[in-house]
Amino acid sequence: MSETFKKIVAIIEDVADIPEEDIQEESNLIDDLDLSSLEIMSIISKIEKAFSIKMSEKELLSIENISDLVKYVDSL
Amino acid sequence: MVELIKMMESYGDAPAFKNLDGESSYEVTYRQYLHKIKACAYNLQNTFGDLTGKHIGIMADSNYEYTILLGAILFSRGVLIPVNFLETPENIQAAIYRSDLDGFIVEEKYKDKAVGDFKIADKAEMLKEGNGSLELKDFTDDEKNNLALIVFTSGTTSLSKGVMLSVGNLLGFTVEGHNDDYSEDKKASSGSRIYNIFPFYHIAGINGWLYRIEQKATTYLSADSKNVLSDLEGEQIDVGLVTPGILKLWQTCIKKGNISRLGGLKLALTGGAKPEVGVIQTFLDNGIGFGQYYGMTETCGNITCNFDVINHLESVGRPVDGCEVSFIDGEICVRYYGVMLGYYKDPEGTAEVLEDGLLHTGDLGYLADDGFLYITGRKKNLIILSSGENVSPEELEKKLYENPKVKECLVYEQDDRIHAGVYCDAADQEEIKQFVTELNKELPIYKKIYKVDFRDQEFEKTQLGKIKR
Repeated sequence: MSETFKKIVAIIEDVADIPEEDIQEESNLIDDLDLSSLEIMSIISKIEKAFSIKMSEKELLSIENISDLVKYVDSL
Repeated sequence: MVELIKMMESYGDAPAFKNLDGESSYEVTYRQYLHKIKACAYNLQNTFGDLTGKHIGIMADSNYEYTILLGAILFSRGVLIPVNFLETPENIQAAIYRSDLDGFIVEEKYKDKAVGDFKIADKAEMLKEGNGSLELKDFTDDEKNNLALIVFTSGTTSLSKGVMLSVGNLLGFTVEGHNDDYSEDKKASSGSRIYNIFPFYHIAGINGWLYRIEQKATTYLSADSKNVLSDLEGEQIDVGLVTPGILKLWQTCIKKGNISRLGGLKLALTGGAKPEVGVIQTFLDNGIGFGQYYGMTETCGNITCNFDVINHLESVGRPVDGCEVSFIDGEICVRYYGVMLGYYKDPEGTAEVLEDGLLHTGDLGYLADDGFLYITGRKKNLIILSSGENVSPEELEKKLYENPKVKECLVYEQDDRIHAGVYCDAADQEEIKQFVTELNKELPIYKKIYKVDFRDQEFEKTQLGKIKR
């Protein structure tokens, strides 16, 4: 498990109170984790701060699951 | 008429705003704010000519800078049209096209979304100081019925409607005009620190801006609203004016021992959608006061407020002063000085809801003996999410029907999420699922379809052959 994945899982747990063991690489933000739009925005905000990055609206919309997020962060 | 300019002049160096942006946060006094508005009004006049009666759109983040544009356009006698940059391209285009824009002020990052036959001005240019300054005057009673604002809101049909609000709707009555229940809020007013997260394309955002100036409060605004969970850490606020959706985020913070993220909040005020009873209870249990409003864009905001939630958890509160509530076939109807002029260039749509000054809210409910209003259902076909966003099911159904494999569909809300019921051949389910996944990538974050419920039978129909909701 990558460091990026672990950090992202911790952020999701912190914002949405979803147990870490319920969050997998392939978990879909909407279908599986049932995150609200505000939770997703807050999670993105915390990811941006944790990794010192800025995500555009377009990039945000193309994210479906956790592994998309991990790949996106690692690609920068 | 509320004399906002005179008020601000008299406030001098009292703090007006704090723009929250991590290490780049800053405070602004009322003197500085007024100065900024006048400089902006000068730039606007230079760019668009005399603003009187001109339709000026804004597409920008809802932060402190936005409030400068609000003040400058309003007091230059322009007609303000806030545009929600998160909307679908169709709705943005429709809002721009149908509101007859003369000019459009756009934030650099949203430039691609602004296409049309009008003058576009860069937000940063409009906010520059040093070019000059325009003296601005308060409104007189003669201007009461002038158009001040067109706010687009999701209607029951697929395209959003432009709600026309007058100068009188916005400034015709003072904030003290609310009922006695409002005293909780008033107590925490002059000099108090109020965090407002309602966007300025939402009537609650605009009202939040006006009322707090009137109260001589300091308004705290996030430079970027998605930073709501970090912006208040290390700050001290008294009141939070937030959507029920944010309250849910805050509830999780409280439960997980992160109450410091609420910035010492003493009173939570909400509106735009129904807050969950469990959420209200969490705040009360943690010694945070709670108040909620009920209103619509068509009433220029609040028509009731509830500051006795302990005894009336399920109620939206008592009508504010000047608001007369009646019922027609169970539907809540109101007469009130905040009632809109009508829908812009839509006399038929206006006639459906407005009759001799009586507004049909589209909500069903009843008034209890103690004067508290309860909402029991909705006559209009509209999804209202805890984020305060209104979503038209028809708009999403139209998009689903773009896939010919979808024989019938019905979009509805369940547990604060959008669901779609779809009738199709069993063999087509996988393809339709994929179609929805792709559709979700184009939709604004609050309009995404969370779940597709497939069925192998037609939906039940009304006598007219329409799907029963």
